[in-house]
Amino acid sequence: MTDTTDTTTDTTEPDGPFRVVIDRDKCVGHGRCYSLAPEVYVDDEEGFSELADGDTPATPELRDKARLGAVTCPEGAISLVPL
Amino acid sequence: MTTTPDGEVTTTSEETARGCPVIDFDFTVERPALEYFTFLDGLREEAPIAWNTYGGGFWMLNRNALVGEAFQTPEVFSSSATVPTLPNPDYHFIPTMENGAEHRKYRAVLNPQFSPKVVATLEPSIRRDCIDLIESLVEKGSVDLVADFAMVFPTKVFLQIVDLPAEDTDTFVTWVEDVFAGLGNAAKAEGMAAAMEGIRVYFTTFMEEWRANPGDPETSFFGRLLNSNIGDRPIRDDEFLNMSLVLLLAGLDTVKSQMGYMFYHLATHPEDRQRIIDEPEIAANAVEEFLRANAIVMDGRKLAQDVDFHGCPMKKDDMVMLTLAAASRDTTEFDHADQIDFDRKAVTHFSFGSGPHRCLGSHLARLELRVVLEEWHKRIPHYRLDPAVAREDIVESGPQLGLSSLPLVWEV
Ligand code: SF4
Repeated sequence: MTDTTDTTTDTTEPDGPFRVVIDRDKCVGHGRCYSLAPEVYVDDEEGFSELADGDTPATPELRDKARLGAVTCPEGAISLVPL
Repeated sequence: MTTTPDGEVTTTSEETARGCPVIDFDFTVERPALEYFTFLDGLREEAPIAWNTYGGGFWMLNRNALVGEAFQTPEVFSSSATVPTLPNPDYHFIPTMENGAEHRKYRAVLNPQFSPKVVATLEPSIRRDCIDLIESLVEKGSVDLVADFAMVFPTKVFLQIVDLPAEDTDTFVTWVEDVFAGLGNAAKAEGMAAAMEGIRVYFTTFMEEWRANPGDPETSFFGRLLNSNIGDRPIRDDEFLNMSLVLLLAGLDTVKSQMGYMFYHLATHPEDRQRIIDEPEIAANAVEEFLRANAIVMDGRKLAQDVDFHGCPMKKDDMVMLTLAAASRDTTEFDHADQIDFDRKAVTHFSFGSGPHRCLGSHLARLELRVVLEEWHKRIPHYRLDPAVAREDIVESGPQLGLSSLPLVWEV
């Protein structure tokens, strides 16, 4: 079986700049990310998540928002990849 | 072997199922409000996975991480049966019991109709329904919150969304209650079958009328559904009827039960109620906490293959309960997990499930609960449990946890 801790390592929170990656195969449209962090995530027609504006949050505020979306996603669909 | 309501589980070596703790626990018995949650808290700490001999027997996954893993491994934990006591149901719900690529085709049709954007457009009319209903109660000074409000409001919302006459509210309320009473409770199976037949006939008539005299498919919910394609072929009549029934069942009883617990908490915690009155902007986060702390659905899965799951050897065709009520109060996951804390930072909970079957109506349910919190407390800010009713007579039961009634009183 897969180990569920994988989902938490997916969403470890890098200190420095990072790229946001949404795994569209894992996303099932809970909408936590775009409800809590609409600056970074938006919903498509089915309610699945897309990036609002590029995959690299430029400011510390946007990085915090990106992290919030990542940790609240029940599917672990959002990864933050250090640049 | 004993299990007690305060969560004590004792097993002996011959009472372990293939090495995992065994309990015998009946979810259909009425117990004082919140006892099931307390019991399941105790069970989770002693037995992350247990075998329950009740019904035909089923595994119980009681920790958050285990529940999440099962939801997210649908090729092992299949949805071909979703009520733990019914491994071979004589019904087949679409899309609930579909799996894999087939399931995805149905969800592709339904998801856009229940997306957050679409649901948001319904907010004004949902709010109006909510206000009307509350205003009809204000002067009464007492209410059974469950029967007089929590059941009626989501039914009105449902009928409005799908464009059916509001006069049919009472009929639908009765059908839905009969169906839920029969799920997992053999004694009430006949009433359940009769209600399902009633719903089928209702929607068949509707479908035939619509086909004979099609309205604008873009303005009516069922019109859009009747006009939709499943993959690359038009939807069949039997699929339409099936999905209509499922939408009805899924959207009403759940919201009712959640609302019952929400008001039970607020009636017994005046300080939390005062915060909703003073700071209505916390309503959305409060809803999240109510969903987490009192998760009502006891979802089931059926093993598609043998698997050794965290030390428990599970066999193909075994049933598994994903015990959300225990998982979402997991002490290894959440601080003061059994407390409702409106200031809790956003957390990951599985009250709407997870994986491909994530609750279709989650965005609608969140909206309904938030609107109720906001509008109720503008009109009836202070209320309490009816002192004439003994606390232990306010009871709950499962398998889908819910209060049977909730008598509230207030000054008029
Ligand atoms: S929270 Fe996760 S599952 Fe939900 S929309 Fe965002 S990425 Fe998708």
